[in-house]
Amino acid sequence: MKTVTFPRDDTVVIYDILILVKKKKVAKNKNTSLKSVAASVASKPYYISVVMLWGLYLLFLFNSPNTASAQLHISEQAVNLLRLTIAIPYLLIWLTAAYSFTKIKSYAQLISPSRESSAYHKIANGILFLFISLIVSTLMGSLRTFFGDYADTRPIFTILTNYAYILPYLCAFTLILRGTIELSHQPEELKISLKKYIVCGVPFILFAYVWLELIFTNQTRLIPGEGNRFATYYLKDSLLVLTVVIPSLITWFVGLVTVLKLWLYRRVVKGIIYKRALSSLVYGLTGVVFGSIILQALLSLGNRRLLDLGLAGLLGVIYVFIFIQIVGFLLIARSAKKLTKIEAV
Amino acid sequence: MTTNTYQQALTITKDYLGPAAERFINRQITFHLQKKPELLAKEDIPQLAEWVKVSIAILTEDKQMVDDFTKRILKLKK
Repeated sequence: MKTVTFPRDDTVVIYDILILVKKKKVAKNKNTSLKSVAASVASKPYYISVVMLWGLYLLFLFNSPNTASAQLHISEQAVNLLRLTIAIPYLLIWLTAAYSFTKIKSYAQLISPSRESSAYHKIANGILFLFISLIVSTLMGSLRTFFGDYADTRPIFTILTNYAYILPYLCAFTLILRGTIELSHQPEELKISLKKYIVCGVPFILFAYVWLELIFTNQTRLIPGEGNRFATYYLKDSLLVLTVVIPSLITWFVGLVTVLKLWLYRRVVKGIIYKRALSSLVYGLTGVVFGSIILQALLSLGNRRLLDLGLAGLLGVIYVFIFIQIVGFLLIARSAKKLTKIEAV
Repeated sequence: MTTNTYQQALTITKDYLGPAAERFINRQITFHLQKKPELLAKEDIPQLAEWVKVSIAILTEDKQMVDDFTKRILKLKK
């Protein structure tokens, strides 16, 4: 005997229709105010700028003296192919960073003039600084290699490249931290316990120790060694400590505190649906901050140290942390979209 | 001066939307009930509950949560 299914209750059907209608209105932005439509940040200028800067990067990259061919014992064509396999992920990370910035900035403008708006503006500006840091540090590195044949320019470009790995990141992490603190209505909610400091501090100290060990056992940190065109820092140890080591450690500490406070905020914030929308932002910023720190630490060690990992190892490590950052930026954008949706219904 | 009903509705909404609660509930009252949020009265509750149900259903697929939220809003009529 054939089973007969009865139609659902009429009320349920009516609600389903209403939900569909409202979903369509939200999708067409009919139910949002003019302010929300105007609030969205124009993303095209950022994407165009990214592509143009990437073009500039490629120009420097492929016109740089090719010393890697001899170092890695591979042909010039293979070196160019390798360069491209690094350049393409850089484009992806810059584009996703721009995308996440425009989304979170649009959300911050949409909820203006609320209290959270100022906080999200700071977080968005922090992401913008991260985005700028990525581009500036990469371009500085490629400029350094491009002018590699001119021995007199090597120290200045090396020093500037190393600083480009530190200062913009410090600004970025500080802005995101300030934004996170401002999100909470009660600063004591975001107080990090001593236990958490110890639990997170120990790996941080171990990481710092390994990094310092790698720096100070590097024989080419001040003067290029035999077979090297560049020294890693061109700075005496005293200046190296004052201008690279200490600022780097401060930057990473600020990054760590930022991540801890974000997780604390996620725990204390009210609103089940809001918390779920916020989660991607927390995961994303965590990935981006840690990915930035580790990538920054690796790249500041200099080519000679990195080549000790072997080509496959080096590429693998760089790809992993670029991937983590790309996923991080996409999660940030996803969170911004979910938070925006709350404002659109 | 805000009504007690509005404050109660806001408190319930905060359990679901946290910092976005005030903006959300104000939008539902302004756009769908065509009145100022602070003037929300008990007789407006059934209509508000309907619109809250529709709006929250767009934000989450958790039907239990949607029903709980709606029931809590409906209780304000008493």
